[in-house]
Amino acid sequence: MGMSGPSRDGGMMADINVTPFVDVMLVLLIIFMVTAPMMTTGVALELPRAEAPALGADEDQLVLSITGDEKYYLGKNEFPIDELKLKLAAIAKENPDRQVFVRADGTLAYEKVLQLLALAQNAGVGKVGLVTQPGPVSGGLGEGMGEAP
Amino acid sequence: MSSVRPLAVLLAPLLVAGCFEALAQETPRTNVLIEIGRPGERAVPIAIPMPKGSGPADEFWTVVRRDLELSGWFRVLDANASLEPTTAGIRLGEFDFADWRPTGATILAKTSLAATDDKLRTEVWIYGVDGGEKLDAKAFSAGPTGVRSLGHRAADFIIQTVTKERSFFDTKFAFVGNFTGNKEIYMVDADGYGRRQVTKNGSINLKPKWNATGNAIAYTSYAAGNPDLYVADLGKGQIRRVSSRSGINTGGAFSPLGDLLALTLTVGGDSEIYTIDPYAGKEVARLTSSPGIDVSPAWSPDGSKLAFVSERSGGPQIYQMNADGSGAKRVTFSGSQNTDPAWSPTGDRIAFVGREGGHFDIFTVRPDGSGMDRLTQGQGDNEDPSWSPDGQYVGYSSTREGGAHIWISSVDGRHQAKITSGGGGYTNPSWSNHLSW
Repeated sequence: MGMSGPSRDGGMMADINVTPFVDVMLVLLIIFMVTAPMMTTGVALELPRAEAPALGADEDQLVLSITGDEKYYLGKNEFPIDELKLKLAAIAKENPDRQVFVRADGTLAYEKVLQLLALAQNAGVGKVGLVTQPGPVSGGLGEGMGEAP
Repeated sequence: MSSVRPLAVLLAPLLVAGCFEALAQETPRTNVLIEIGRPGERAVPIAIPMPKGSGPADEFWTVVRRDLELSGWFRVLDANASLEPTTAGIRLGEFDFADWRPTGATILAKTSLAATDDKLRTEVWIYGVDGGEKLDAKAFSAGPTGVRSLGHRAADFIIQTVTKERSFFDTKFAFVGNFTGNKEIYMVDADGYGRRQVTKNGSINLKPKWNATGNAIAYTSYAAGNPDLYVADLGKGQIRRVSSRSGINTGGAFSPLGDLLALTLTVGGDSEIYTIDPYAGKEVARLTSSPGIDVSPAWSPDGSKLAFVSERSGGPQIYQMNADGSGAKRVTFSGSQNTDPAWSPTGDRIAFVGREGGHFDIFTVRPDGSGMDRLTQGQGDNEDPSWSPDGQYVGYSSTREGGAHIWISSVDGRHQAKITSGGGGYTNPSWSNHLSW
């Protein structure tokens, strides 16, 4: 895994291959899921709904948010992506055990969220919490993974 | 899509493992008093954002951050470790502590720098991040070229506010520099900048020692052929020869009141310790009279005693005696060669150089000979210990990086920092008292 590329069987690949991202991430990145109804970062977005353990409100938590229109926030402040990378890397360097909570808008493409996780990973973050909101899960994911067409 | 399949498989166990991590992280935030030990014991994480304003802000910022690192009290966080927007101000209410809590900073020091035609002005605001409170704030100003001095005062203010102790950034080192092919006396600011040459005689000049007020340096020079004792009067810009007796005139040490110079003379053939007056050089008293070498006198802070090196029991060891020469007592008993004593300003320890395994290292010991402590080990040769004015650090020369440089160590040896830069050539450091900013 990971060595596959667009030229492997000569033809064009229409969809983006996320394997390289996943490959790197899963080596070191610990991912967990939490619901955080009380988290007040001031960034308004629609969190995906999923069952997950609740997280206590804690102002010390480092929260990375991405809105539906792909604006990036650290805490409650918006930063251009390059600046955000620098800040995340500096905080990870100074606090090697610090976990980052990712609040990604539920309407975002899966790819965008993965790219954000890769960004955190590259910045030196070792532990990422995916923040959800509690409530009924819409769609049919409860029964199993979706069928590949 | 087959290449995506491993994701679900690998992610599942991590999700389970991660849930516990999240729960364990739930600790309520409480306002904790900032615990401070001694320098180097437990470095306090401090955030110092780029100063707001105009002028040589970069240089100011560099000075403040390096000073805080040198002090050993603090760990200065990476400047990018901040969630704060650039629009945030430096005063209480002009920014949000929530932007600093996730960075790991315990202390936040915000500064401004304003440059006008005739002066520089800085404001320093110091906050406790956990409690979200102002600890103190102060403004300082300096002449238009005084940016380094302004940085030192800002750093000193931060250190005093957090630790209640004075910094050493208003001090200098006198030392022997070998930069011209000759060993000349120089002095340099305690952060290694602002080097100034004191002697220019092209001869050999050794063992400078400050007086307590910081306006004179005693040293030995071969300028007139014989190793004579000189005093450089920095206030008057004069150099005078105070002892040129036949034989050696070395190891001149000002008494705390500045009314006496203790030194080693060999007028009678054997090397003995004397006191002379520091102006006319007239002999006041002979303090030792034992066969074998007696050298390197160092005053106790109250001037009632002297530590020195004697070979009266065989090899060179540290001794102490009363200022009139009576009551000599051996201080060091371990090691075969212990030299160059320096009595701490707090009076409770004597630093010295011990030779072990072919290398010189810095040790400290209580004046009664108990509680010996080692500050350096396996780091080249470390020589000529000298105390900071408040007794929290020992300065010395070290060859651990090849060339000889001035280094400092906290009293417990945990924090060691290199003061000078460049290719080396810094030996015989003597640490001054607090001078004027």
